[in-house]
Amino acid sequence: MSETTILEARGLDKHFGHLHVTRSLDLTVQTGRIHALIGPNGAGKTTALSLLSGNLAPDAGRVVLNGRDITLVDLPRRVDMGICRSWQTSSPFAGFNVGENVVLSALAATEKRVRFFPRASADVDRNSFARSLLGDVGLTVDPSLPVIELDHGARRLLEIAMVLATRPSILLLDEPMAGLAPSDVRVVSDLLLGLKDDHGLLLVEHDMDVVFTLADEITVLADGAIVASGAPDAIRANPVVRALYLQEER
Amino acid sequence: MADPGAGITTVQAGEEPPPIGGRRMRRSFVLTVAVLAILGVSPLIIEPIGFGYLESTLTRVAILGMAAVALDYIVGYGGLISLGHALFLGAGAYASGILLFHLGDRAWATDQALIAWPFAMLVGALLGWGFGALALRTKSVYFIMVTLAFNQMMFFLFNSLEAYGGDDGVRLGARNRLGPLSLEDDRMFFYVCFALLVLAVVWFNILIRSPSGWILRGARDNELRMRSVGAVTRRHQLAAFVMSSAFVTLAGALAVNETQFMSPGISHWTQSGELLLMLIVGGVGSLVGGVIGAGVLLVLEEIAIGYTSDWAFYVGAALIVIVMLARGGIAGVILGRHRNV
Ligand SMILES: Nc1ncnc2c1ncn2[C@@H]1O[C@H](COP(=O)(O)OP(=O)(O)OP(=O)(O)O)[C@@H](O)[C@H]1O
Ligand SMILES: [Mg+2]
Repeated sequence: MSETTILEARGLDKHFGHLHVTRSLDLTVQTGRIHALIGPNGAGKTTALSLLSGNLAPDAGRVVLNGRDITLVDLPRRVDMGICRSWQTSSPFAGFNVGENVVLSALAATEKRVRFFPRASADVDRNSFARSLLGDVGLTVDPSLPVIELDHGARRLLEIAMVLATRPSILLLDEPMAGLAPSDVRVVSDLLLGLKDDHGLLLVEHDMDVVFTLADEITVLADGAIVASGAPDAIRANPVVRALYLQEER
Repeated sequence: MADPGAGITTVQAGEEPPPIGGRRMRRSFVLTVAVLAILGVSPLIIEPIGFGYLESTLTRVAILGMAAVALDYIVGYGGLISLGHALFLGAGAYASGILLFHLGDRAWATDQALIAWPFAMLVGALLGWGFGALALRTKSVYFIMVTLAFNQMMFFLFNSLEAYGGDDGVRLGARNRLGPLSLEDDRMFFYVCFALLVLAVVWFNILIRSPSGWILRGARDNELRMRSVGAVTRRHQLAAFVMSSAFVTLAGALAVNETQFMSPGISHWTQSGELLLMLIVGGVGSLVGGVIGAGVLLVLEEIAIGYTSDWAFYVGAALIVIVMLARGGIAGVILGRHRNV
């Protein structure tokens, strides 16, 4: 049994200087559903995700979690509330090896107070949790490898493991599968489907095959505004969306 | 409510935890022990080889080495470059020095090291808390400028203490007393400073491996990322700043004992720069590099002074060569990729 957690964007607006990148955005992320956010380059997908995760503040509008206004709640506090995001550009902690990156993420989510004892690496449960997460995302490399030695695909997988390490109830994933080998895409897709039941998922993704396989709901952004939103079949049939994507391919 | 983490993972019992730190630690451990051992035996061997005049220099290596190690915790592991740490040297000097100066004419005065030194550390921690909380509102170059401003502020404060000689400072009649140990004996005083240096090195090695130290290091690599997995980075940076301040203040208390002279000079901002220079030469982000840098800088200086009045030029030239040849400082060259975490 799991309660439904609902994260909502209500009329979010964001400018970068003269650039209006988010225009009265309404969006719902909810446990048990995968919500895909798609749109051409520069449509404002990452920005929308940043507004929900808390590392950008909106100019107007609200972010609401389970009925509570969390617009002013900062990034770390939102992680406490169960919201965690991944980054479009993989950026693991360079001074830590692969395993430590996951351990550090788990540690950051739980260590709210300043503690000097015991050693960070001494928590056996946390270490095996981290190791099992590496297995879950299908990252088979030696955990003691420095992160600079990881190739692009492995970094993407590590990125997901680091998000999972915070034990989120809502995951905001920014193009988690970009550049992954087909076999890895399958692993991650299965993982996300497995998480779906008790996690809310917002998935920014360019790969339409992935989107239409996974998503329960699709929102299409263009120029910061929602062009269409609804079930995958409806989106597939939507003439505006078709035009948008045909346009992009040209 | 269901555990959000459930279903993500199946923890297999008896599985090896990910290797953490292990192999990379060993080489830096050996280097740390070697450097401390060399410094520890130095006073015993410099006399026979004709460098007896370096004895007090070695004491200063232990003292300023401790300050550099403490500074490395925030610079090398926190990525927070402070150009204000000499203010804590001054704070330590004045906190313990004033207690000592009034011996005999004030009831609160004391020459007991076990009171004066912890008191100095407490003063340093409080100052570090206040200055750190303000400075940490800024980043990078602004952080450097703000810490520098605090340094100047305290420097002028010490200068204005007319009761303690103003900008001339005052002589202190004696050193602190530490139980049965006679700190008036230079050899004994060196070993007390050395023991505290060892303690500081061990302590900061514990800190860089602690949960808070990991978050500090993670924030150095990528602060936004660290916050996005839930860390309140500012809190851990402040804790690190306070720790660092407290130990630099202890070094200040030792320094005023070494010279038996309490003056604002010790807190001049160029002294902050010199601590940073020690780190750069010795190796930022290795802890023991602070000791190496203090050793190289102070010993080089002392020897050069003996040969030429243009010593500053030659020391400067030597430092440029070291920094050019040894990227990552001396410790960085020795450790290679096997850095101290
Ligand atoms: N910090 C910033 N400052 C100024 N402009 C920005 C900033 N971040 C994004 N932008 C601009 O806002 C617009 C939307 O960017 P955003 O990254 O949200 O798009 P996106 O849909 O994620 O694109 P992509 O598919 O390329 O990842 C772009 O034109 C981008 O150049
Ligand atoms: Mg993007």
